[in-house]
Amino acid sequence: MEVLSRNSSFLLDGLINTILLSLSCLGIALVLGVLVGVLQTSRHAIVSMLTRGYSELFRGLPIVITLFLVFFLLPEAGISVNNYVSAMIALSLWSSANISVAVRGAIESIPPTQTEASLALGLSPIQTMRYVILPQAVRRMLPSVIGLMSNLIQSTSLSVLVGNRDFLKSAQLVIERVELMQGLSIAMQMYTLVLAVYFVLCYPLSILAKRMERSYR
Amino acid sequence: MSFDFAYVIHTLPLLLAGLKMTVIISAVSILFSLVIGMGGAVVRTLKIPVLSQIVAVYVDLIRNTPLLVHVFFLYFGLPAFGIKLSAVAVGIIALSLWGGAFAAENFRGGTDAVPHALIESGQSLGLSTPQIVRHIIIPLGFRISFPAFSNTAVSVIKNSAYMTSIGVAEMTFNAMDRIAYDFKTYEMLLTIAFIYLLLVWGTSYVFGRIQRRLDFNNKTRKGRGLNGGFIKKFKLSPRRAD
Repeated sequence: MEVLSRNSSFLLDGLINTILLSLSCLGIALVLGVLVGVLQTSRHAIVSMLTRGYSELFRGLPIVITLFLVFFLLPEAGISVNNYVSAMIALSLWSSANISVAVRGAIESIPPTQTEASLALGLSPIQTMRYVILPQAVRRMLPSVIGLMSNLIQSTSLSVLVGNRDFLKSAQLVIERVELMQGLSIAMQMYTLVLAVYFVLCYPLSILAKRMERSYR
Repeated sequence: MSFDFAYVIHTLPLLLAGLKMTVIISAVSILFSLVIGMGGAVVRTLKIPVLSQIVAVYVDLIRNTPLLVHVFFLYFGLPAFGIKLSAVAVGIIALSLWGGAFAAENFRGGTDAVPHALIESGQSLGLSTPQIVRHIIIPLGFRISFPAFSNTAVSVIKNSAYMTSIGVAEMTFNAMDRIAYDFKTYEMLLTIAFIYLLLVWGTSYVFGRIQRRLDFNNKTRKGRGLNGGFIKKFKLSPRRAD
């Protein structure tokens, strides 16, 4: 307990890092995911193939591998990224691939007669997508996007593998420090706390996703 | 930046040894997940008191906390209780618990969807609850929820890469180990990425084939909901109660 109060601001820093990382990934992934998802329904074979390949690729790769690829290979290609940014890029790639699949599914679930009708009314294909299809698709994809948000928060813990100081890393540092200075192991208590905090962050989202899914069915 | 193929071929045996570890850990964990998931789903569908609540808590706990923290908890936290597990054991336990929680949710979708009329007819034929579970709920529920479970199984394979963090000598770990010695970052990472993709896509394909074999409904139909045709087409063959 005493350890906790002494390190509370340190841990809080880590928690803020975790939340910021999740939110920034979510922002990027939403934009990218919707764009890629819409392009996946394109009638141009090349466009839809490329974008489908994108989501197959990043859904197929373990996140750890994507993370290492970004962290180690971008600098070799001359783009310098620190651990926070590389985690952000890798997680955005992964979650945008997942969102794009949800978007595609939602778009395809809307009857094609609607597209035909709005085209017949003289709306351009982009207008059709923007004003007719997407507003309806958003409601259908919302549960899976919220579910993904919970997944995303959990996946940000992977950024410790490239040295980002998120909540998990802060907890580990506290464990190490106490072990070195006082010679006692608080790993058990600390990891229990970490589990509890992640649970508090993610559980409401899961409940929300489940409830929305039920109400749309 | 040139790609050193000779180096890749030189280190391939090491990577394949890692791949073997990845496959073993994943396969064992998928099997355990299947058992845990099926058991959990049946318990929840039958609403067995106490057990059902325990399963619900377990599933929610695991699904809403990161796998990486489970791994660290088991590996660094448990020794406080005097339980010291090897890295491989921790890997298998963590992945199985994780996969089991997700599989329990997957399978519950299936076991809940088993038409109640079938269970009631089982009862009226004089089948005991274990027999109903064994002959009606599990076979039907498994078939219905197989697509969802196959996603979980593939995720287990991908997540086996997490075990690199506690030093299980699986593929990612072996590759990172070589990188630390030879600095052939580019070659190693692209190679294991390629192998992972083959593994993941290959497994998905195999599961897809199995699913088509299991799918007794209209093969081309997309939604796999239960309609009237389901019950009509499914020939219930009750084995004689012995």
